[in-house]
Amino acid sequence: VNDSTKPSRAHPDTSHLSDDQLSELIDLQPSGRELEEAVQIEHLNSCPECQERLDNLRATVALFRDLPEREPPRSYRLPAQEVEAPSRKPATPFERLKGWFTTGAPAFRLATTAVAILLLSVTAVDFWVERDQPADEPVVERAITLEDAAPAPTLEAADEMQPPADAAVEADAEDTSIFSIAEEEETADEAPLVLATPPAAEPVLIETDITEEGRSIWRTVQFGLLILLGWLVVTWIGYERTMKSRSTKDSS
Amino acid sequence: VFRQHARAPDRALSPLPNDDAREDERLLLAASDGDLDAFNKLVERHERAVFNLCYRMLGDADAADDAAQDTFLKAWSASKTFRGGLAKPWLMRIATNRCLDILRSQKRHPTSSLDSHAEVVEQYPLNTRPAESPDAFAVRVDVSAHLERALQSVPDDQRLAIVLCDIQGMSHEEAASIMGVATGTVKSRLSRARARLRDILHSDPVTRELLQRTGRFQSE
Repeated sequence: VNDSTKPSRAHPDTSHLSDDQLSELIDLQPSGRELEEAVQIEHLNSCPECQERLDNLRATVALFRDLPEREPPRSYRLPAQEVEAPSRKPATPFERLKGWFTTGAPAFRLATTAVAILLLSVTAVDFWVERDQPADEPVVERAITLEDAAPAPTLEAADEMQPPADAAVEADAEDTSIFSIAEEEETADEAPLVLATPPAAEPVLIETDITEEGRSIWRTVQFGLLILLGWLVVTWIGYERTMKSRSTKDSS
Repeated sequence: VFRQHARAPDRALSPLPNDDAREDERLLLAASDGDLDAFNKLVERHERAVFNLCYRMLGDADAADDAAQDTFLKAWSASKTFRGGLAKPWLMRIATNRCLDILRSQKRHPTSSLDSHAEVVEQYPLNTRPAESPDAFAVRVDVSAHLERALQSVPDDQRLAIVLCDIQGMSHEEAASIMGVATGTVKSRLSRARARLRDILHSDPVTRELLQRTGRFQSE
């Protein structure tokens, strides 16, 4: 018997079985045929010391397994007046919204609120700018189309572009291209094509270009803010879930 | 030799019958919806096991009483997070965590509690067994007191392994899930605890004499 007060996991003499091996033997079920052939069993048959250690270990375990249960001093039933029902009732939308903005890390709360307000402001400004657009916007759009599709032609170019007289009739009937539209306009005004381009078109076009550029920047900002808000919300939800599962783990 | 020493699965080690486990789960799911009566039925089914786990871990009946009460209060408030499964290991895990919290707190503010075993025996007596002589009962009470004292001298994590596996009769896997460690860790802690307890019991002459009277230990 090992008289040491410290637990000895490995027997000093390595030819003997360790406490781990003896402990495992105690937990073996009778059906463990493969273990029956294990070398430990053979060793036990031929080693009185290990046999005695195993017997004493087994006796110790048996003592604790037979340790009688204590009667609880009282019942632990929970009286109705002393406990609150687990809060399972569904929260109202207002409570949920309130919960969103009162829980979580202050940094998340502040950042998300700030980004949401910024996005709202940007969207509102965009909305007002859109609303204040001049009524003749379609004309401008058409001018853009015409100018973009065919830059102001020179007289020579206009001559080159003139279709033959025979073909012009067919073209008048069939062709719906922008050139034919421009030609119609020219014909109606009885003026050369180059003069059909209004002198004021250039400033209008410049102004429109600036607005479009501004809008695209504006929309990029909106999109960026939306992405940022989404990221903050997702991170916030992840953070909340982590904290909740951690507190549940702690409480359990 | 192996067959001679091999232990057949006893009542405590056999798994919980499926019907009991299902009934536990049903009660706990009802409790999660606020049904206090269902929860109290669950309490009645497991209060003995929970109290004994707390008692073996803490070694003090009053502390175990408080810990068991806390366990059921926490279980009630945490029942809304229960998503199904085995209720007993879930309760045992709550009780285990509560006991470990108390033990940690006791280590920060140490108080003497090992001298109260005699009072405990008086206060919460062992059940007498049918046809047990008064002498045998007295020896059993003495042996129990010595075993309980020896148990308290084992480190907390090893004691938990002994309490769950050998006293409560759980499998290594169940104990591992309650302790939140790998099965191999449970086996290792169990082996250390058993060896330590064997050495403690064998090195104490009074205990050794008592155990030899019960025919448990072989003389050297």
